[in-house]
Amino acid sequence: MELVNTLVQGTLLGGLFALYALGLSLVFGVMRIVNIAHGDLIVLLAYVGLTVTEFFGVSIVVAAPAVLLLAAGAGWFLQRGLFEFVPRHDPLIPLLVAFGLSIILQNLMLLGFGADPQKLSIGRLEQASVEILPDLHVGVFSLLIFGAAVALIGGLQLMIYRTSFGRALRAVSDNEANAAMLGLDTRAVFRKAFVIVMVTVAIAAMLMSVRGNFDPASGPTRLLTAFEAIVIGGLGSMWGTLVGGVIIGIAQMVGAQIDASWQVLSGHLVFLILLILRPRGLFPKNDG
Amino acid sequence: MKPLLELRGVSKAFGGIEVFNDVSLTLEPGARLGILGPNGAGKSTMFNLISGLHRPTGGEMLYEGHNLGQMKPWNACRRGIGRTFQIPQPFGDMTVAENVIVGCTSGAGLSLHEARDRAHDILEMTGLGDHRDKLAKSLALLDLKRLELAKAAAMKPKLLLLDEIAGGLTEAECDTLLDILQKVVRRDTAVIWIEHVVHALTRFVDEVAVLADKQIVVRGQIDEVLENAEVRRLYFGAEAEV
Repeated sequence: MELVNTLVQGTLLGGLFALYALGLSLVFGVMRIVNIAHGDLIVLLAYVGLTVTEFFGVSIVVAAPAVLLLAAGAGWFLQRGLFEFVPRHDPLIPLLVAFGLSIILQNLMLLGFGADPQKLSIGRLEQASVEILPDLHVGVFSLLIFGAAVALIGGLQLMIYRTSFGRALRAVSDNEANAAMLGLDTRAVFRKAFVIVMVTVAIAAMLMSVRGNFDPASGPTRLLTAFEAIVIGGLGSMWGTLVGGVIIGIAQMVGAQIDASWQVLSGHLVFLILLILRPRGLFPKNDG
Repeated sequence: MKPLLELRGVSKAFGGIEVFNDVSLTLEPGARLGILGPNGAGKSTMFNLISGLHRPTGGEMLYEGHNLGQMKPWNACRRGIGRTFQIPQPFGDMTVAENVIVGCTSGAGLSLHEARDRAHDILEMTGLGDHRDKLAKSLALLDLKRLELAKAAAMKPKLLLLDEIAGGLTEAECDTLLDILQKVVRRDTAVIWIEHVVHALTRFVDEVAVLADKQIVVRGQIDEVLENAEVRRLYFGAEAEV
């Protein structure tokens, strides 16, 4: 039963990791930008959530629409005011810009919020649990996170493969110049894409901030986990990313059973092993 | 008649390398012009300029009286400039039908429903009807060329730029392509067709111009141009496929 419990907890934790990864995967897939600042954007939006809840004295559940709206605006601004001006013919340039953004964000958050770890609370729901099998209890909030990851991936898949905007996204990510000459306003597509990315980041951030502590320096570890989930799953496959997240989640939980200090390390070790065995990921997109 | 397209003393340089120097060209609505010229003469650059992908470094480009030199590629397309590529550039992971629908919705501004109908018609006309649900990357060369043409023609452009669509095809395939061209290109569509395969060109265009040494050296009826001594020296000595 102990083992089953560990597997279930790890799987649910993997949902959170997949949520971290979705925005990162989209930015790379559409814009070919490796957004090193992705983890810091997650933490920034967690602080936005914290600020909104404290300012209005409401729960994050109530504040969520405001946070999502602010995130959408920030997404538009990031693309319109920053990444739009970054030449992308050499992938190193946007990488360096994102790296700079990461450092700026971390220091601004340190300045504004201090180094103390923070956490948001949603009351009893955090501790609530259900018995899904005899003697197997899982947290309601963990289930909620996993459900959010599945719903978000499903929604994004529908958007990408079933809508006109999704078709535009795929066209632009395949061949930007050709798409532009077929009448697609590629700048508008990129701006909208970044809005969607930041909305996914906000969802991840709010769930993260309730689940555990965060501080201005926690971005890079989120980024690393997100990267690992994407690479294990195979670049461009969102369901693969979920599987990647679940694998890291299980590895961490199994590691934690051995020794608390092994939790994070075992996640990375499993990633390394899979990287050696399946360098293109478990579900590589077959692009010849 | 008011010209559809007007290039006045257009120049283009990449860094210090000049590709295009003081080129002037006028095209009436519905006119069909072939462009000949040795490789590297700046033919594809000309299309990149007209379709808004590159900005000219000098001169003026007018399309229906609008300044084309400042127009974004998507606006050039929405105003009716369609284009095919020398090396077919489909969206490989999309189906053949989706490739055509993208241009119809974004370029021609059709609703998804109308775009599907248009795509259906154009795919039938270009002989791609049976391939509509295949991924574009799985097509053979002739079918890729058909798709290039279908994508551009589906938008019902006022100006269609064809970049060596007959290149690399067998003679029979070339005939097939010409039949398709006659079907999908409406009589009121102006065409500029860059092509090395002269016998294909002569069956479609009204006039040809020769681009060499960064300039248009001669323009006129096909027979006259082919007889021109300068043209023979510049071009046909090297790489005619007559």
